[in-house]
Amino acid sequence: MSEQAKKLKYCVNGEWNTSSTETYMNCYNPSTGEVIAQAPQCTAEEVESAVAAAKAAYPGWSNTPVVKRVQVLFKFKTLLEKHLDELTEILAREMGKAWEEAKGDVLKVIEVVDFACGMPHLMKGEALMDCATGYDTTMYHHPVGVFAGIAPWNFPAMIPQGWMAPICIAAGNCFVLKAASFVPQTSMRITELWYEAGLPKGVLNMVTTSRHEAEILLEHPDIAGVSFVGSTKVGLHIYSTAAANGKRVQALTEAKNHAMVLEDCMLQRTARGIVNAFCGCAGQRCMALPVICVEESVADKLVEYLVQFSSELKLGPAYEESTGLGPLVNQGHMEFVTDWIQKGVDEGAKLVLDGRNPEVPGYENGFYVGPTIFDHVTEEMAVGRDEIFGPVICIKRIQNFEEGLQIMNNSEFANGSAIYTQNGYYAREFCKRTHAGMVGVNVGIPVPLGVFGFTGQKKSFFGDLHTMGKDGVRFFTELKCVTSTWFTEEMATQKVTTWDGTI
Amino acid sequence: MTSIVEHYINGKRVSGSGDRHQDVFNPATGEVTCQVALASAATVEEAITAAEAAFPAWRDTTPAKRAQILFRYKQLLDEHAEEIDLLLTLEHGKVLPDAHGEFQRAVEVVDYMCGAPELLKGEHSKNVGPAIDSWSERQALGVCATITPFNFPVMVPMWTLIPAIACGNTVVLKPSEKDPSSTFRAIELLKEAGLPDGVVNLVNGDKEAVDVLLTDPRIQAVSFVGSTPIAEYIYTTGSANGKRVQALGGAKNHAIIMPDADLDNAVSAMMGAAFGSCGERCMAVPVAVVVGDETGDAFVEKIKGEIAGMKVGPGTDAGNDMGPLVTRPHFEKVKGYVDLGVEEGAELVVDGRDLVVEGNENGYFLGACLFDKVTPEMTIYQDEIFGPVLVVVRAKNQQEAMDMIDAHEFGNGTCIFTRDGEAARYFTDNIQVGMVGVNVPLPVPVAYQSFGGWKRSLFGDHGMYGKDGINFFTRRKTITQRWPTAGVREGAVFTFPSSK
Repeated sequence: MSEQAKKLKYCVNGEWNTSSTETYMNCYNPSTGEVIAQAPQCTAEEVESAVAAAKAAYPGWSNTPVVKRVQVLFKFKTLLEKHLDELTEILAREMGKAWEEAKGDVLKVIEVVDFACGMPHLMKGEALMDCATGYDTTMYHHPVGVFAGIAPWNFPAMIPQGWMAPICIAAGNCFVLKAASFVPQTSMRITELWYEAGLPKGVLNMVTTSRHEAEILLEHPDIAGVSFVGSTKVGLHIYSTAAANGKRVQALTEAKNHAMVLEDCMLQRTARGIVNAFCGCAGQRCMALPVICVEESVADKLVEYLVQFSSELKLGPAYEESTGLGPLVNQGHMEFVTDWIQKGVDEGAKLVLDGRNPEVPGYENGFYVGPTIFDHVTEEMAVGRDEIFGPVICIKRIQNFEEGLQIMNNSEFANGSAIYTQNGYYAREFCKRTHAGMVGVNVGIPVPLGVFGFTGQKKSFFGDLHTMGKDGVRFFTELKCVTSTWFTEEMATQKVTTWDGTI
Repeated sequence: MTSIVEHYINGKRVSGSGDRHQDVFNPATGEVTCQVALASAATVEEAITAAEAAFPAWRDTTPAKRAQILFRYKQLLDEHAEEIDLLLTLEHGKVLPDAHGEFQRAVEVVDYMCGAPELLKGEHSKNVGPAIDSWSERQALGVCATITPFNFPVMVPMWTLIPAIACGNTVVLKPSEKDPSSTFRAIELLKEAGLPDGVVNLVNGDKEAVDVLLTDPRIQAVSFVGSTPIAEYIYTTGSANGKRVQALGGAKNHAIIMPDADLDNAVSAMMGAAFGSCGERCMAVPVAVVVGDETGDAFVEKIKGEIAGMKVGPGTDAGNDMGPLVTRPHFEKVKGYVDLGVEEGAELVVDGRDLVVEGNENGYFLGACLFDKVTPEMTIYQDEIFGPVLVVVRAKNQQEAMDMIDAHEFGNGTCIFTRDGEAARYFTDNIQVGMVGVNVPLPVPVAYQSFGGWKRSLFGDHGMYGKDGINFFTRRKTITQRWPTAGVREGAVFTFPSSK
């Protein structure tokens, strides 16, 4: 350990408390390998207290008019902007992604906060006068209650505080966040900013726990819904358990995004885009691009460009501005990725660029893996099918568009996909027929802006309402239809039919 | 040496060539505080040129980036609230809390338009025909003109220019020459918020300036708020010159007070609605139609008592309920209506003409006036007086009251005071008015709905702000797209294409 690794707290009812637990989980600085903090494995009672605080805060918050609720978000936005560099530093230090990537993580929070500031018009319902003669129906959007969020380690700010909290809170709900144990600090600082912006106590609560205590959130009668991002295995468990307990769930899981590269594309620019897409955040994104299906005629040249541009990336600590590629999040994950690279070799893929054991002078204990390129990957190879979540790319050579599309659609995942081409016809065909929910045309990482939903499909997503955009608003609200009529004197003596006049 | 409020063109304060000038007064004291420039045609054309030049880059600025400027502008407005409120009160006269209320409503429009990326979305349909997709986009118009009245020198400009620029247009604003300073200050803050030069330009002026805006071919849209005669002129002239126009005019809003109404509540509500801001609002309620003589007598008795307790004085004293009228000519006009009402035979229950505000003897103060037993033939019933004059009309039943409202020239706002849901529903369903209140005397829609009256209170078909604001300040383009088969791969095709 470098300096005394500080023991982190948890937040209930606007107050930061020291946990009574005996178990703390190490938080590392991936750039150096040092332990920089310890996150408590909060006890069952402490998790319960977070839920109770959220429940107690709900009547006051949900009854605050939405225009007043969003004033907190307007202020929160200005605080996020004011503290952008500070938050970027905390994030880079605790998670390892390079400076601009860390900043982008925080900027994506602001993007959704911007969208959620529009909650007054987003929560408008519908009304129709005279559905039947003399009967009017009004449909309202309502907040629901208390939601739980279970966040992953790869986007310490964007996912918990962008995808989950702003829309949930602006819609009038209260929130219990189980932050990722490895990387809770950015999220904690952002929680402080929520309260500085004037959020009432108890509307946002934050804990770190083990899986065991997290189960409480899936079964708790006072929790109305669960939002999850993480692995498919855990996602399926969360989806089915929470649903079995009557809750609404959205679970965003794994991916193995493919891009099709056609011979008529702008090859050099395409190659640069691809390098960004597979190396960005050291490949630790569910929208990373780890597989390319490239037409044979341009494959050799593409691989040449990829090797060239990847090799230009400077490996280094996350918080240094010259770094192009930061470390992986921790020791265990670094071993996971290097094991996969070995597996790829064992399966017979051609290792064109080997990123294992890179030299990063001065940072020998950091969790670094350099860009790694496999060529001639075939469909039998697991390295081209399963999620590796590192800076590893697989090249699959194809004869034509149809073959490429077939390979891509065979994947069990369908988060994102992309096509690089100048041809409008193939671009349209691709968009129409790809199974992926987020599609890029000459865009390697087609993550939609916060006003749209994050719309992955198949085994990349369980549920029916995605995060962000209008889906996000629908996930965090429920609908109430009110049918009303007013009686006149004459009606006192009229017969009332079985449908009470509404037909 | 009196300062002159001039123009703001291309991000700078400018003097116009060939301008005339006129005095600006503090209505609480009658003193001249400064002068305002009245733009010549050349000056207005200079503003239009600046707006035209700024348009291409602004149009191409992404909605998300345009929204960031609005988020920043909201912050700046909040920081400068007190300063702007005071400038407003010193020229318009309304009491400071009222000025601040106006200010907050302006900020709410900025809040709403921060949602530009979401609000500007079009619609998409795949496969409208085989392999043919179609979608609609909302595109900016170009240079838009907005002409705003004296009674809301901050709020009404924001109603129009904020949606206009959020949608990607550039703007020439011509505010009221009676109270120009608060508007000018609010516009200057846009640059600080990051708005590029030329996107919003301000020219002060009168009819000469307005006529340029109505006829210059570079102006695509005109937005106006003012009196009905001028609104009609703006609408017909602008339209004749091929522009889209929305012109909001006058009002004579009626409130119906039913026998079962909570009378104390109704009286209290009517005090604010009739006399707030000296009655100088298009949503003021200067007509109380009381159903039944028992209710009528009780209402008049109660409100008379409330009026007696009113404090009238300079707007800078926040303890006052009501300030002065905006100018001396307007004061004379309103007073003239009171004289006329007496001549017409209405019963003047409370006479505010003899009010004297000590220390402010030259201010344009008129005390609240109350007429009873007014009938629809009277001029004081028909005309928009725009002053602190409340007329009470007696009706036998709800239908008679509603018929009166429907027969009136204007249809801006209205309200019913009742505890009876059926009466309320019948009223809201049938009344020929655009903004309707149930136990809410000033049913001004919030920023994410839209504002607009019916009949001769609004010429055009779009209201202000909300979705109507987006639709007025954009036009729809519908694109239908197909890609012929592979092309690049097939090489040149010399025979006539046929479907395979």
